[in-house]
Amino acid sequence: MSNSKLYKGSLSIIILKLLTETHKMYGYEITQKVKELTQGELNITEGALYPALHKLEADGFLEVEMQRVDNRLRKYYKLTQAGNKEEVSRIEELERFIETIQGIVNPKPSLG
Amino acid sequence: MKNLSAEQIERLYEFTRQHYVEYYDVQTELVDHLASAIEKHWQENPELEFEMLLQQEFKKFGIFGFGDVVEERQQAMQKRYFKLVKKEVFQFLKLLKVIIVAFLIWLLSFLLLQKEIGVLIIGGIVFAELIWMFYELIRLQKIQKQKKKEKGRIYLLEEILLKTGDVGSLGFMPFYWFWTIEKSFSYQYVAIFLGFLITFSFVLHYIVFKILLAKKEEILHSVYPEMKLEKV
Repeated sequence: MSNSKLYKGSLSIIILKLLTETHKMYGYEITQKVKELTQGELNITEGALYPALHKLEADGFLEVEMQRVDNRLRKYYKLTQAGNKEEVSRIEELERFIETIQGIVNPKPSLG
Repeated sequence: MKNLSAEQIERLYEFTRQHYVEYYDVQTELVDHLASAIEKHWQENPELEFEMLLQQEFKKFGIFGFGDVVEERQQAMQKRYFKLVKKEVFQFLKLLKVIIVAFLIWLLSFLLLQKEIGVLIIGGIVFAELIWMFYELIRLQKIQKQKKKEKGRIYLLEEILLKTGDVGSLGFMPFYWFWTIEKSFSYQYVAIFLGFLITFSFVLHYIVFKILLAKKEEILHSVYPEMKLEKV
């Protein structure tokens, strides 16, 4: 997708959604997972991913866990209870938004 | 599978420092990211050179390099810091309440020990509070009746809240204590004890008449989720 503005706002939703499906993930894993799911359509840049993760963490939606992997430290992100709630409400919000946009872009022919 | 050596990990830390990442927490996360990405390349082609892969992965961070990551991380941490400050301020205010209550107990006991003038002041305050409470009870009873009349229904907890859990009917207690042991005020321990009781009942009345009633709707909505479904 060439228009990155369109999905920039959805990045936090994507992160929250991925973390409800997978218990815990680290940054690189998230970039790879998004690439895999969207078959390269959404290319989340590293420069955007970490800021989004840190923002969600500061808002209390994510908590972190450190683990030693090989000879380095790895930071895993997990959803908090507040994060779980946030995920549900943001997905609902997004669905309503998509519906509205669809109504404008692709109006259903009325029966009347 | 080919993994990064300890020296290569150290080189990655150095690389982040060279690109203006000063903080260890941010460095660590970026090092793991770069290392994971390089190892991914090695899975497909173990012959690829470390430094070349590092530059390639760094480019993916865009023209500002690690700048965006560091900047956002600073903002996020600043936010967390102010959350901590807020928490401590609330904690401190709790302490302030304790200090106010202790001061009230001391003040009342002190006044009670001042014979006529002190007793007169306390007696006046206690009496004034009694009058205020009667006024409040009558006002709340009116609200209760009006609510029943208007909506034709009232929730159990709502009624208890409006009746102040019958704590209001104990409102005359400070006055009663004051009346019965008036002659023993000169004893210090009696004065302190009475000062404590009067303060406690003032605090209790303040909670049931002011604080809980101000939060009435919020409390009722959390206890009765069905209220949301109610037709207005």
